[in-house]
This record gives sequence, structure tokens and C-alpha cells, in this order.
Amino acid sequence: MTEIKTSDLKKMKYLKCGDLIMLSGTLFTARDLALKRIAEEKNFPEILRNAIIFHAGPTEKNSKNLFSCGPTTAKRMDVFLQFLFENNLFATIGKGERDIDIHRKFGKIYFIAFGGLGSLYGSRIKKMTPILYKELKSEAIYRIEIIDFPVLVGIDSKGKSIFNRRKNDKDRIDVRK
Amino acid sequence: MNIIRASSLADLISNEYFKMNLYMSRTILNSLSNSKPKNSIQNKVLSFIKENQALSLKNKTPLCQDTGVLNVFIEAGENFCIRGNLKKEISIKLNEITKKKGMRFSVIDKERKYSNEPAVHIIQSNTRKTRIILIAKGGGSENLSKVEMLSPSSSDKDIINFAVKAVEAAQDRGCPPYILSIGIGKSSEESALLSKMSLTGFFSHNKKFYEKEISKEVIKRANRLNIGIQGLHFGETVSDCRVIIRSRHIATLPVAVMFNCFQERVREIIL
Repeated sequence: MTEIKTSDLKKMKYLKCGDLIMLSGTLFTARDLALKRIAEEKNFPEILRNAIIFHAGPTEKNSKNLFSCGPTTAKRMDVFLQFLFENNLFATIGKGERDIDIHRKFGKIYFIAFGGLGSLYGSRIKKMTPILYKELKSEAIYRIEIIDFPVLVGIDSKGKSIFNRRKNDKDRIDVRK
Repeated sequence: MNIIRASSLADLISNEYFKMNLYMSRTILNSLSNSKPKNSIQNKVLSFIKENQALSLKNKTPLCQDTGVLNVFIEAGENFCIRGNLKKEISIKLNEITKKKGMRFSVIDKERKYSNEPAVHIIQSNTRKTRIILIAKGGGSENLSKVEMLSPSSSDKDIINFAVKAVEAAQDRGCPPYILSIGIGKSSEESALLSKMSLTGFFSHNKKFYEKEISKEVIKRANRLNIGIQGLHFGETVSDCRVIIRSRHIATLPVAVMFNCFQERVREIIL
């Protein structure tokens, strides 16, 4: 399993779909409502340029200061991708399939985090700081410092994907093998 | 007749809400242990799921950050008598426990105020005891729900096709392996309620309520889609399917299909 830093953008461009990697570094959480606000305000936060968004909304912290924070369904946020990519967002992390065409158009990467594993991902977040829209609670944008985040390359920078939805898609790779 | 205070019952229910978010269900654990991983990624994913369960117990953090909207189904026995506003009390207690135990406020009102307002249904019954079934329902699998008014001349096969197509459209968006339920009959809204109740296992104490033939066929065909655990094409796509048929208007055939994710969080309390 490849270990990779979120700051190593060059190395990420060479990743191939179906690769399982351990990601460490900085991510920003953003989901439905925060992305809607950014798009409506048409004021793209500088901090998100060349950054990686993790579609997720954490729980409250418990008495030990621990929490859960796994991925949410990416497809709901497909409507914001054009806007995000035009503003140089580097990549996204979410769960489930998502729009391949828009990724091909911009040559962007989509990482799949595994669904329903909030405790695991939460335990690998070492620091969580709200950056924008704090009043949106779990839907706020947080900067998170992560260590060994297991993610699968769902769509790579060459536009190859692991989704088997499109039966005639030549660029599909079957991870069953 | 014992009169129960709404606030006491709400205490019991909110404590269960916390606990049920820490334990994986038996059905899914069986399904995972029978899956046959064929490569290192699939093996790794199974180990992540195990590690997640262990971390939930150790750290007391929920299995999934989406701790769900709590759906409460009360089968009120003959002697069931409650004092106070139950839904309001449960709401208050859920908000308290969410803050205190590190759950998530997943409900938003039109003023964008966050809470954990539950859905509460009371169903009258002529039983002696009162049963309470809780299901914490995440948004990902809830978004896959489908209600359709089929033609009354439709066959079982049409119903099966409708359910299997719903699974195909869902792909891995709602975290498979799924538990499925199909409510057939009644009215448009009651078919949905029937389906949700089946999903909780509300009728599971009496297996004869379920339509085994339809269920078997849906499971068989849905598993042929081979979406599999985490969409990685191994293990089951659908682990269980609970089908209930009730009476209907002669001109209508409402069918409601619902999904639960692999983090199935369901509890039963008997009073």
C-alpha cells in the first residue's frame, strides 16, 4: 500500500485507478450546504485552491475528545464539481460513484473513502479546526490534519475509473481481478 | 394500568440510540464473515470494517458519523398509557445525548437550526405487552427509498423487477451490503410506512408475515448485480429482504422499497 502526502500533488497525478493508498496531511471537509454557499457567493476561498476536499460531516466530540468522521455520498455534490474544478480544487474524497465526464474534462482525481467507517477515519484525524461557516455544525468547512487515511483511487488523472456502471466504457478498469 | 412518564421512556430510548450506534448487527456480521475476498484490497476493506467496530467500542465513537434520524415505532399494547408529549421528550433527550456522547445533529429545520428530532409512530395493538422498535436511519440509504404506484394487474415478477432495478440504480451509494424491505398494498403513504416497519424487523417475530418467494427472488437477482461490499464486487449486495403484502384498493398497487446500509442500527425494547 502506497503512502502519500496530500502536499505531494505531482506524485498523486501518477496514481492509477484501483490503487489503495494511505493519505497523510491536510484536507478540508465540505458537504452539501457549505458547497452551495460557496457556489452562491461566487467567492472561492483561497485556502481551497490546490486543496483536497473530503465530503464529510463529523459528529460532536465526546468526553474523551474523540469523534467519528467518515465520508458521505459524493454523487449529491456532483453539481458543484464544474465550479470547484474551474477554481483549481485539486481533488475530492467521498463515497460511491461520481460523475466521470467532468473529471475527464479537467483531469481531476477522485478518491473513494470507505462508507460507514466513521470511527476509523475519525481516529486518524489528529486535528480539526473550523475554517468557514462554523454555524453549520457538521456541515461547516473544517481543516483536518490526517494520518494514514485509507482511500482508493476511484477516478485517476487520466480519466480511468473503477465504476462498472457504463458497460461499454473502454477506460474502465475492473478491480475484481 | 401503569402510566408511563414520557420523559422516563425518552431516557430509555435516547440511551439505546447511543448504544445502538456502537454495535454492528448480527445479519451483517454473518454476511461479512461469509464473503470470500479475492484480492488484497477486498481483504484490507474487511479488516478496516473490523477495526472500525473495535474502535467504536474502545473510543465510544459511533460506527458511522451519520448517527441517523431515529425512527421510533411503538406497538402499544392494551395497557399502554403515557403521560406527557412523547415526541417532544424524546427530542429533548436525543439532543442532550447527542451533545454529551458525541453523536451528530443530523436534522435541520427551515431556520437552519440543527437538532436530532425523531420520527415517532404509535400503532395500537391488542397485545398485553408494548414493543418499541428503534431504527437509526442514515441519509445515504434513506435517499434510495422508492414508492411507486404499479398497475393492479402487475404480477409478482413486476414487483421483483421494480425492487431489483432500485438496487441497480442505487449501486454502492447507500453502503452495501443492503437490507431491503418492500411494503406492498394499503395506500401510497401506508405502503411506505409498512416498508419502513419491515426494514426495522417490526414483523420479524412472526416469519409468516413475510412473502418468502418474492424475498428469495429479489435477493437472488440483486446479488447477481454483484455490487458487493463497499461496491467492490465481492460478498453480498443484499443480505436480507423483508416483504409484506397488505390489502389495497382494487384500482391501485402501491409498492415501497427501502434500504438499510450495512451499519444496520436497530433495537427492540419490550415494556
